Amino acid sequence: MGRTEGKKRRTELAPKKRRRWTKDDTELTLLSLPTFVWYILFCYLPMFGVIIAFKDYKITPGAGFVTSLLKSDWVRFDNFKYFFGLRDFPQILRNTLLYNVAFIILDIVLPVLFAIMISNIYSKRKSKTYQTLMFMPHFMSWVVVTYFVYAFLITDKGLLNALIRALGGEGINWYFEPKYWPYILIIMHIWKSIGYSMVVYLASITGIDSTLYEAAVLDGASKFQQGRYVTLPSLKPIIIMMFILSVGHIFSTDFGLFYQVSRGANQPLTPVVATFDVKIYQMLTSNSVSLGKTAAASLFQSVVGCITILIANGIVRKVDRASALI
Amino acid sequence: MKKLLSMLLAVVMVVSMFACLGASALADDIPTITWYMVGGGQPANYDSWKAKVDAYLEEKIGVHLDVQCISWGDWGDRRSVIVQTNEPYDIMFTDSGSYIGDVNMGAFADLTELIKETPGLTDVIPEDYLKACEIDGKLYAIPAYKDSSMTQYFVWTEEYVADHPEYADAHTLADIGPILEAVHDETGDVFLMNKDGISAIIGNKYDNFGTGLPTIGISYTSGENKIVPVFEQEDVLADLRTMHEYFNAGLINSDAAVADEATGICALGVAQGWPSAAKGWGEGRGCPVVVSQFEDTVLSNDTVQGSMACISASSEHPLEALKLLELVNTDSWLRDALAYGEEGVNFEYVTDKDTGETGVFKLNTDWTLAAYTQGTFFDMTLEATKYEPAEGEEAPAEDQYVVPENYYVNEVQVQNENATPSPALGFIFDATPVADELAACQAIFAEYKGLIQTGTGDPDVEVPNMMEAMRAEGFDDIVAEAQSQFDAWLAG
Amino acid sequence: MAKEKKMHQGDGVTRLNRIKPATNAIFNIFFLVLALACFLPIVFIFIISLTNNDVIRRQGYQLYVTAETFSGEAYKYLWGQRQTILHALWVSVYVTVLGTVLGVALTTLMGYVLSRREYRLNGFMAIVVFIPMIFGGGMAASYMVNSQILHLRDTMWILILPLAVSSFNVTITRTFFRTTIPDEVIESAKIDGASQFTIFSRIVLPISKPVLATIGLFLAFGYWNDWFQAQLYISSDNLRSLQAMLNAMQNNLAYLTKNPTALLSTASDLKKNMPQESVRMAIAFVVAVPIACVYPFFQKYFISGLTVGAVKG
Repeated sequence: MGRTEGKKRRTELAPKKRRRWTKDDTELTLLSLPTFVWYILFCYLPMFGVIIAFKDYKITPGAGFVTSLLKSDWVRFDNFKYFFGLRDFPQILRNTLLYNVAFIILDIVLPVLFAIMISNIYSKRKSKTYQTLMFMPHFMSWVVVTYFVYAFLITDKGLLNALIRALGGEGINWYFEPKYWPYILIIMHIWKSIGYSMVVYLASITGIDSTLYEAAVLDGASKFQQGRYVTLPSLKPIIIMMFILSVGHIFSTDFGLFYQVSRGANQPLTPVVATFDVKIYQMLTSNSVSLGKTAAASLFQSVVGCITILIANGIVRKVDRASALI
Repeated sequence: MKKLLSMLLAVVMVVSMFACLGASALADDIPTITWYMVGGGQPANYDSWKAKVDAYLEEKIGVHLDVQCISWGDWGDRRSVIVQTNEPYDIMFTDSGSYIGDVNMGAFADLTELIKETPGLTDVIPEDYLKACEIDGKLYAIPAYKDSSMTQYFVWTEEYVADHPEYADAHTLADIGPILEAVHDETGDVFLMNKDGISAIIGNKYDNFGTGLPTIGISYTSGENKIVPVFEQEDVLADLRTMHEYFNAGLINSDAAVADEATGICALGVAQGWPSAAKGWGEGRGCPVVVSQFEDTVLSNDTVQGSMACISASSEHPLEALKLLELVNTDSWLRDALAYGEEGVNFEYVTDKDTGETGVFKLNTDWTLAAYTQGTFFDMTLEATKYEPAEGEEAPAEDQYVVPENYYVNEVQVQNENATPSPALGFIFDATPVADELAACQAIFAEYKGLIQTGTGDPDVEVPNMMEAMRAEGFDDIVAEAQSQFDAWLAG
Repeated sequence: MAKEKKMHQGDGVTRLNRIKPATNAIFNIFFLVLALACFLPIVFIFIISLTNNDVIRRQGYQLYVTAETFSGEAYKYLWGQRQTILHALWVSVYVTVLGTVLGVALTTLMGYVLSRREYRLNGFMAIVVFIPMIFGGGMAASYMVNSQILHLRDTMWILILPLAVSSFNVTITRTFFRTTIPDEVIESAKIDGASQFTIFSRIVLPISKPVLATIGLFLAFGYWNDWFQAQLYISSDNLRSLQAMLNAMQNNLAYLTKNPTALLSTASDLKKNMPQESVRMAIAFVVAVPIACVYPFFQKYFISGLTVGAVKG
């Protein structure tokens, strides 16, 4: 296979590290230039904003944002204290981590499984239809999703309670019963993302060389064995990449899901639905929390995310260098 | 290939073009005052309106005006980035929510001395009201002098209470019970509220002196100069228990604690305003309504700070900006132009068929600026309605108009004068020593607000839960700090 | 069906290598249930948009519409606003198409360059792409750069440029190019004297349709559903997309319910500015339909069983 040969070539090249600049390098640089410029303008220019986290930001009359920022007092790590000192910090840390662990696992296992399953269905037209329909939730913003979740769950007028009552049960006060919410949120997450996350794997399955399957069939491999020894290994790089990327977001959560679907993450649901992003949003919209404190909380999220992503990447690098992100 | 290359080239060109675009400052002798306000977005006929207003302003005070009206939903984020990045502006609409934070950030100009140059403003706005906007003895904002006190009303659906005339005497939460129950039995409709609940339960009785934290406050009426944990006071708890009873009896919408909005026909709602505003509330609800006053009118820093205009600390023309505000508060023509739009396009001046009073007849609802953000209501021409002849009467040949009695003077001003002032009116709490505690407690309040203020949760369970959480974040320190600052303010 | 059979008959191995009919049936049932679970809420939204507001308020949400509960009010309202809505639709389409084309170009270019291991600056570029995935300067700093340095405020470009590239998409393309394009193809092209430009546009792009479709799809959705850029940067109504319009309606409502003073001064215009529940659902439905129709266009590249090039591994 191409990759193993590539590996060989790389190990041969490794000793003479300082290669000469070639025409290829010039051409590739030119190709990447527009995107590089984009990164500078839209990602790196605003990056100076990070220092707000270490400042007590005050406006200097007549000066712009940058000057004001530079002239503001350094407060070192004071801004971080608020976030860490919150009474419910352990609780939101737990929520954020547990939900993310569940999401990371489910977001890989289910889409991969479903993608393999759906690609095996006889009728391409049917599988196409299923896919299109499963993609539907992605067309709806969380605000709209919130509306119909509400329509389902609301105590008196809700459809779910109507159903429960029709079956002889007793209506449940969904919005006031914290114990159901971890399941509701996980189901909603999968429901909304499944069609979307299958796409990446489907594109890769489509890209797998069909001769590999032909060879496997000739060797007498069952369908299950083909999945195990042909499809999965071919998907491995993309699975690993998705894994590393999602590990980097282990301290971030989908704000819309946690805040909007729970109708504001209020009591009595707060203990089970509040995550970092909900808290940071509350800080951002609160008038008594300074810009620096919010920036500090976001920076904390980024730094921890960066560390976890580097660790994950490091482990992957050890095991399989070619799949590593950087 | 060629296509690809030309596309790349285009991208690079576009990008470099933006990089090259420098600031395009216009040389102009006449200063332009940029005014950010909240409303329904930029009006469609803004340019032609601006031409007329500029000509008028140039002659009067030698400035041009650039109004930036940001729509309601965009306002929160937009305001904060504009203020934080110190984007050039002269006047910024502000309310109590963001005022103190922005002043602490150094965003606004100190107007204490400057206001002496504009006697028109100090004539119109009572001294108390200006005092209520001071921070550390310095004035950073000009309040809009209008319904600057707060009066809450029970808003009843007229048809439903036709057989229950006693509604007119229902002034407390305990009073409304029997009527509400009767109406509910007859129609099935409820006391409709959203997840903010009835904040007037606290707001009518206690002033939180700008802390943004309703659980701390000082009583309007007790006469004791004591800052207390509001939700643990018997009068508040009694009201909360009443609400909980109503909720359990099904008189309040069952989804109140999670509902985003409370619109449409219902038995009862609560609104802030003045009696004549009932017409507007009825239009909002979709049926005629009648009102009864919900407890007393109160006056505090917060109620005054409902609408203010601040001037940027970086403004190049602070005096001109202030003069513009003076003119808005004293000059009817300009006031009407801001509130109603362009004469002949959005409104026209009409005279009352009997009294000969001048009124404004709105030709359409296209004008999007919100009058309450701009200045006082007392120099504004009143809105007239078309005269509808009673049945049997002959329709007049020409359109005739009716200008109502001046409800701003008759109702709003009377309210303002009769309001119960807070003992802490003019006392500005410096939250710096307890900023983190305050922020944490505000977040906790936001979590519990829906449960408690709608009657959904049992106050004897939820209030102790909330207070326990707040005490863990240093609630008592805030009370102590506020009390000592307040005592010092009383002494000084 | 007949056509499909014919297609498969040509390929004996593929036909032999099918799952068992029973498994196929189980899979079909499984996905049918899943697909319905995903699709029915949209139908449900459509039903709410056709339900009388008073019925919703009094009796709760309905699973079906009857003659008594039906109301075309919401769509009548939208029809009354058709000029605004059509314009917003045009903005949405324009921004989505332009942004997707630009975004796919920028993303695949960088993805391709990163996939070339022998490239001298590979490590540097990888880091350039990696850092923004984790760190950002925050809303205030981005606003300052976009409005005061790049002068993009209230222009069409602010809706397009900031969303064009995401490190996530770049990484997907990079991984795709690395795993599915054999090095031999590129090596042999180089030996034939082809430049990197030629290799990219003539060889790599034509065999990468699945990933182009994936990125295009992701970008198109990103653009179609974006409202945040408009909320922060757009003042002119003629630059508001459909989604931004929907969002503005929701937010206006939220602001007005929270601010009694504001509510008071606009009470009489309330009916005009505050769409009822059915109207909001109608808009949500109208927003979803056009983009849902575009999906099959992208989809054909995920499912068509395209094999990569002629070179076998």
